[in-house]
Amino acid sequence: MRQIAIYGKGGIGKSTVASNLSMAFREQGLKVIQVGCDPKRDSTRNLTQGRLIPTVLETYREHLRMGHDEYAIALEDIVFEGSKGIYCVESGGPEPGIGCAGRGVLTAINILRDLKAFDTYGVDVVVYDVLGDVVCGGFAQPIREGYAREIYLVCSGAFMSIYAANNIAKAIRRLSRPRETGLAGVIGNSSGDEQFEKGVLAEFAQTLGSKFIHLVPRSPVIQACEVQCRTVLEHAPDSAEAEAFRKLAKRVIDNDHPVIPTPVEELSELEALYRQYLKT
Amino acid sequence: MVPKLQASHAPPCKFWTAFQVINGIRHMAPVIHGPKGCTYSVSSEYKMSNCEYSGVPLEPTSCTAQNEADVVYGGEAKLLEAVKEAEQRYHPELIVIFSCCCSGIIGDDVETIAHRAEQEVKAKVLAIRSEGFGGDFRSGYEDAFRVIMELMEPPTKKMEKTINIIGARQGPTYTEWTQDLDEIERMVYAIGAKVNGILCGGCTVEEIRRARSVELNASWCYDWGQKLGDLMEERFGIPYARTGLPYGLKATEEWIMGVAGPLGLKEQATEMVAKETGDLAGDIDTLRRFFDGKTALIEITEFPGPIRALALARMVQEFGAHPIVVNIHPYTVKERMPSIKFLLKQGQNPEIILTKGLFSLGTFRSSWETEAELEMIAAQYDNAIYLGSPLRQPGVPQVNLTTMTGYPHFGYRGIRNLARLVQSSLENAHRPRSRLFREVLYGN
Amino acid sequence: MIDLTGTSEFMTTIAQRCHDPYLRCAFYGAAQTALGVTGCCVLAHSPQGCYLLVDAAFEWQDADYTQTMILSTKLCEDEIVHGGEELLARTILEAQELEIPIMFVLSACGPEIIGDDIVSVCENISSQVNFEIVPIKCAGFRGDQNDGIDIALEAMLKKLIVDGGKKVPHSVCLIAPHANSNPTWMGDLLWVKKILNRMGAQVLATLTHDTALSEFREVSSAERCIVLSHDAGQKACDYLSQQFGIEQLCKGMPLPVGFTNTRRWLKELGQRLDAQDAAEKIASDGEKMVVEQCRRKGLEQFFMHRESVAIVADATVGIPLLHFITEDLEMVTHLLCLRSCLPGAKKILERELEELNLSPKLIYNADVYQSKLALGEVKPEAVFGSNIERHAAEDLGIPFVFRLVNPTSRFRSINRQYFGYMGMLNIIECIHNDWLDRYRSRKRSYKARW
Repeated sequence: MRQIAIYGKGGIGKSTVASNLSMAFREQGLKVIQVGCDPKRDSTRNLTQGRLIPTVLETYREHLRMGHDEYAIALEDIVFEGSKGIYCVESGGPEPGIGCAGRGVLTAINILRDLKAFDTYGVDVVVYDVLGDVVCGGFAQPIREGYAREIYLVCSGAFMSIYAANNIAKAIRRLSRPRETGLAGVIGNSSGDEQFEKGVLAEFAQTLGSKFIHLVPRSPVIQACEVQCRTVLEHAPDSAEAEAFRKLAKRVIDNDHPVIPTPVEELSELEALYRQYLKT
Repeated sequence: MVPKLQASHAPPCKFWTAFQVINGIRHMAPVIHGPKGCTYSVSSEYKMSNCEYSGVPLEPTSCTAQNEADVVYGGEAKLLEAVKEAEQRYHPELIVIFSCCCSGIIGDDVETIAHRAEQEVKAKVLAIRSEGFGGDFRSGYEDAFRVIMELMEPPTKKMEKTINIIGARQGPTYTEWTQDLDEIERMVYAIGAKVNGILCGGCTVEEIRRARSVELNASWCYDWGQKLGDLMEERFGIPYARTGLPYGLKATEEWIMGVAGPLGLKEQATEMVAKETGDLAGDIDTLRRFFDGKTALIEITEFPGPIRALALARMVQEFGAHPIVVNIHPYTVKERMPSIKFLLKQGQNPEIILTKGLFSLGTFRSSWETEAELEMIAAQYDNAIYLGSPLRQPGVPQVNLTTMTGYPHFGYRGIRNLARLVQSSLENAHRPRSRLFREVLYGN
Repeated sequence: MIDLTGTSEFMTTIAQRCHDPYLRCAFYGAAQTALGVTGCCVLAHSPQGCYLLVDAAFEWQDADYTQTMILSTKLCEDEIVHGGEELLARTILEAQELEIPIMFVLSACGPEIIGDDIVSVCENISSQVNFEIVPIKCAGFRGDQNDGIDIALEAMLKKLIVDGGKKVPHSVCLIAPHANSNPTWMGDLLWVKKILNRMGAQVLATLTHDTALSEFREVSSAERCIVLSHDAGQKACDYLSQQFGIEQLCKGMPLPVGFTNTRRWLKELGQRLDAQDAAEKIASDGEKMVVEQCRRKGLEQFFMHRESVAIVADATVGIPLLHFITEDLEMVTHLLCLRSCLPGAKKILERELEELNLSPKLIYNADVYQSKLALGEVKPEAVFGSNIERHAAEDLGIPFVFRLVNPTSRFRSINRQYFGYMGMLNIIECIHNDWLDRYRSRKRSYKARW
């Protein structure tokens, strides 16, 4: 079973990448489960035609109210079949400004493990889609021992997305285990200037000790599918954009070499790297 | 309506009950990944009290003394160092890491640190995710027992006629006054069986390692032991004698037969039962005379707890009384559900009375109101008797179940003691209760 | 006899990672302080385990359960993930049926980390209830119990004090009597009150023990204050000095344990309260009483002569005890382990050591392991400590342990003070009894025939 986690700055397109990846894996005949780790609970929308599925934490809360523990949760109440039989889970979490979302993600992931969700559904690939800023321990739970082994960082050409990805790489470095868990690669989600992005992201990935996997083009097709709450592979299966995701998926499948990343320590160094490509 | 205790009543949290179990292992050094308050409290409650009455040495307790900085920046590195330091200081056989609210919320991964630490120290290192809010009273001990299963090694050869006694906690029992656990052990040895270890009542790590080599598990406390018994049966195929608390003749016979049967010692057990019962003829007679035709009010408080109270209800029925269990809070039913289900399956379903005071806000008010109601309830029966704590003054003959010299209650020695207690109750029924005690407890 | 003259080691704890505590956390200290207010209700905004800490604090304050109450919001996973403010608000409203004058809301580790804002909840709900609400943010990770006492005192003083504007002549308020490891520290407090009374001073407020709510209104009118602890309370005193010009008495002096310290303390009080004669009479009467009582009861001096001892205690008992056992009881202290110590108290200790010409091994902020280690190195003949030291002493073969400080396993129906003259007799009694109580030989015992 492959376990893949997708991290990156908030709003960078992780959920788009994750859901399309999941669909591409599914196309290849793999059994897939996508786990959204975000209190906004919107990771799997593209796989459920826009329906917001009940979250793990919501369901857990109902059981707690009845005086039951997590083992009273039935897997069917938290794992839902989406488009093309892709299993969908949303961790859920508190509303903004209250409670502890990190603890929420941690708890939800543990429930999936304790209920042996992945074994039960016999999945081949797990895709964790984790919210933007990894600001406390709980958000790192998906890459702890027993969970995701291959971690991808999604970036665009915007400097802040690279800066955020570099920061997240520090968490990955701390939690990596040699030949087990690590940074698998950098995925680009283009904001328009493909040539620039390919250059800078490749350099960035190399600096991290990893590789640049693929650049997903910016395209009105992708955006149109988002609005329809569909993946590109479903809604526009013959498009070039769909091909791009298939290519990405293939590269991810073939890539089984996570590394312990070497994030850039000095902001000035990162800026210099970036500026280098701006000029060209 | 979800059963919840009112805000003035709070049972110990998951952390406390988990620690209580683990505390019963010798040469174990706890490293609590949390602040000093939790640490000192459980140490004071379980370790220090234990050394006083059972004469065992004061074993160490340590913590990472989490402060604000650790909460904000994470404390995993500190924890790893603390475990290494604990090894150097205490030379334990086992180190157990406990997480607290602080470390649990911020997501410090105690399990991974335990694995890492184990590579650097001689002792075995286990971790329990025991943050207080993360479960309840029950999940603490269930998880603790679950975790110690990691110490159990595959059996090399079966230890014949040997059992584990499970469901114990805190450490060895009182010295000199033989307690329920000692009585159980005595009965087991009397039929020719042996005990590998009492988990976790003063057991060693070695005994836990060997735990899978036994022929059977039997619980001292059904409620606390039931999870471990079920899991060991599920995972390792070790049969589990599912019997209730041995209060009274029938339950004691069931208990000992539950052990003897699977071990092939039925004959010896039958012999022992006959002999012990014979020796107790006088006491049994006392109990029958005392209980026959009476309405026995059995109140659930700190002691007896709900499971003991229900076992007592069964016992008094055996001796001819009609039991009424007072104040088993709906919340307690929820907490003890596995045991309640077991008892219902056994055919036990006694009459229950709940006082209004049980639900009152404020511990004093709750107690005071319950006392008033109890007196009223007792007065409504012609022949009521009360079993419980002398904190209550119900105005009817009362059996003091809480005197330290009254133990064990279990087994045959238990019958002897209970007979003595009911005798005292009868003889002193006419004496007025202390006004001093009454005013101290309930005010003017 | 170990020659330790001339060696003195000031060993402060360096980022202790594996800590075996003597003290509980800030939450406990705050609960202790709140529960000193008679008839109050303490609401622990916490998971259910912390309720047991408040229970322990309840016992420490000798609170009366017919008057004082504890509640808890019993937070579970759900409230930690989604926030517990709503549950807190509901619980406060529920408490209306209890008819209390004041409620202290204490937040524990969990709710503080997730950001539950107890201050706002309390502010918003105060108009709906008929009791005063004082929120205290005292999560356990904020420090140890002495820090908790300081935190609670600050919150209480800032919320409850009313500036009356005028001063009551010869009035005093007393601070942190409960930050004292004497298990019956109320005896020390009572002695202080009696002394002040005899000197014509009026105690307007005690912060806190058996404190009426009205005392908070009186605090600002006090002319002077005394901190009855070397471990906590100085911050509250500084605050009162700053805000209301309340003068601190007996600052920089060891608390009154033993002849010299007691006389010194009384003299200072006598001077500042213009009651020198009364002070002198208390001292001379007291000293005479102690001498006569010791004579009549047969004080055994011989075994104490130059006995090598260790003190393992808090600063409140540990520091002043030094003078008494050195000067009056002829013992020699070779080790002093303090569980906690205010910076001002360290200076007091240094002066005491100079005055007494002593240089024991010193450990500040000692944990249980460090004290045991030090006891093993120093191997004194006797230890002034707690039940914990009794176990250590048994393991180490140290013959005598005088259990003065908590936890002891000795029940006391009567509040025995250590301050003042009766205090000396209490300490001597403890020494005598624990000396006789030395663990019996296991080897030489045999069974008699009757």
